[in-house]
Amino acid sequence: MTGSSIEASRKIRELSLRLVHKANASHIGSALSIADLLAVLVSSPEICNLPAPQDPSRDRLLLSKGHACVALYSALCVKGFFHESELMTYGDDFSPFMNHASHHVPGVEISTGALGHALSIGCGKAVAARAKKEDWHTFVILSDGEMQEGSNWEALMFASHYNLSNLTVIIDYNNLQSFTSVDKTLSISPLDQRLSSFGWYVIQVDGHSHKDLYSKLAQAKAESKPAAIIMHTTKGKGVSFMENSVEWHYKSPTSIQLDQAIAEVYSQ
Amino acid sequence: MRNALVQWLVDKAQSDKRIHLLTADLGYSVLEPFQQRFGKRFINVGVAEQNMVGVASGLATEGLRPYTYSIGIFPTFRCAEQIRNDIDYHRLPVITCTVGSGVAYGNLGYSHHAIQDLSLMRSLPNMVIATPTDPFQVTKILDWHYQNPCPMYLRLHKNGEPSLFFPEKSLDLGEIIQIYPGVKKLDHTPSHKVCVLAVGFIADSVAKLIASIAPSVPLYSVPLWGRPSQKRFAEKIKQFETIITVEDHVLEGGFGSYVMEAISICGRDTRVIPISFGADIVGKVAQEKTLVTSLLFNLQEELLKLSSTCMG
Repeated sequence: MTGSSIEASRKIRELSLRLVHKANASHIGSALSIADLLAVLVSSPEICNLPAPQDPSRDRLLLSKGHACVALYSALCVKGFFHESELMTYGDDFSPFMNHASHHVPGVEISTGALGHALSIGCGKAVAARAKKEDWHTFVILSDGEMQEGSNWEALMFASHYNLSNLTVIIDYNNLQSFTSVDKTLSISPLDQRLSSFGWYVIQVDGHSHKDLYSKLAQAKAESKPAAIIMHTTKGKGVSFMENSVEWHYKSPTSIQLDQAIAEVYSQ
Repeated sequence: MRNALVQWLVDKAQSDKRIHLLTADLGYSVLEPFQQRFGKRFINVGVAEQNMVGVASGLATEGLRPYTYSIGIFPTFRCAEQIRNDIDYHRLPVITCTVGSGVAYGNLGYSHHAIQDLSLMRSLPNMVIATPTDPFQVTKILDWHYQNPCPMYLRLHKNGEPSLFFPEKSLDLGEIIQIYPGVKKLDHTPSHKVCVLAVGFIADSVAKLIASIAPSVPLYSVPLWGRPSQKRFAEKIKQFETIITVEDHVLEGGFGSYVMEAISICGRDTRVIPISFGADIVGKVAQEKTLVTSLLFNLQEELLKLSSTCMG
């Protein structure tokens, strides 16, 4: 698992960087933040089974923080759902690879972009799996700032009430949002206690340790309650000048910065 | 109308396990027949409309058939973004069912007056708008949707509405259905120049008014409309020179506006006279029959004017 997922994470970071550079797009920091998580998911079929985009038995992977779509597109490209040349249409006029997650891309379950949507949809999918007596699992990736959306707390209550043990949420806790830190903007702390009090099984994970990610994802999937993984991450992880910096929520790298960033990604 | 919905759901759910009914904690003494028979497929999400729409969307993405239910404004405006992004954009076959159309809950105040819901829902490109005039049309609409899955907004009144519809007719997108004169009552040739188009429960009162003061004017209901059927609808109404529209909704973005847009698309100079609520409806709290008086009064005025001019 770990060897291939490390390679996958490097490729996801490289592709994500190339995409935002090409399209002069934003949100590279958010994408780099979840690159390791996605690498582990697409490299570990025993955790996240993704045999083909429309395979009925597949696990459902939903990216609620749709602005980080370049990481998801890149992960699905690494998975082999489409060719890199298709991915590189990202940002072109009328490309299916739009700048927020698009369900027109093979493997992307739903389009997102407005925050606070995918967890409710994930709840619906989990209910559907149960109703159809199917054993696939639903994963929903949220951002920490997104937890300020009230709709997520409606969904958290719902999942707990219906004991949707076939649902796992992963909250990307990099503690940076649009202007400044989450703590300074509108604190969601103590997130673990809040989630626990809503009836969720809460797990903390180092979001850049593939070994830790693998074991905690497996643990979450096996849990008899809906599980929430608080994933501690660094926004912009893997590129020194992007790490923990609000401005890389918006900026795209210049050609020189792109070369430097990719070199850093492959030197780690 | 709401009982017709529940009866249809109960009947259909017996043979189709895909059917799920979701409510945001409304429908007490209405939804129980479904709840009691199909408990696992009855989901009360609590007072949480955003989540209700998201859950319904998730069910629909997996091939199930969800129906959401609440009072007019709540499952529409509160969760408009979920309907826009999750249901409509993904073209999911979720029916958003509301009760209390217009000012049906007149005494409950502005929070419960569904008088801008059509504006919101019909701006969504894939959304079919369903405005039944009576319980029978509710059933026919649900039958149509079952065969033609798509995003739909079903705007129901309450209960006890009289039956106006001719049972042998089936419905289709953009069709206009003659309500008055009824086939058996046809003792004269209705006008092909002037007609009234009405949506929702108000059609019954409109039919009675026409019968008493302008019996040569035909009345049509428009059960299934919206952006997806605009061109087809435009074809159906191009025969008329004057069209009066009646709705328990504001003009802006409502049915009358829709008809004017359709006329514009056909490039005709048909005169459209919209009868709808004005801005002064906002904040008026009274029984429904009081609040809709202005609609019927304005309709009467227009019919009398037409009678004294073009209709001789």
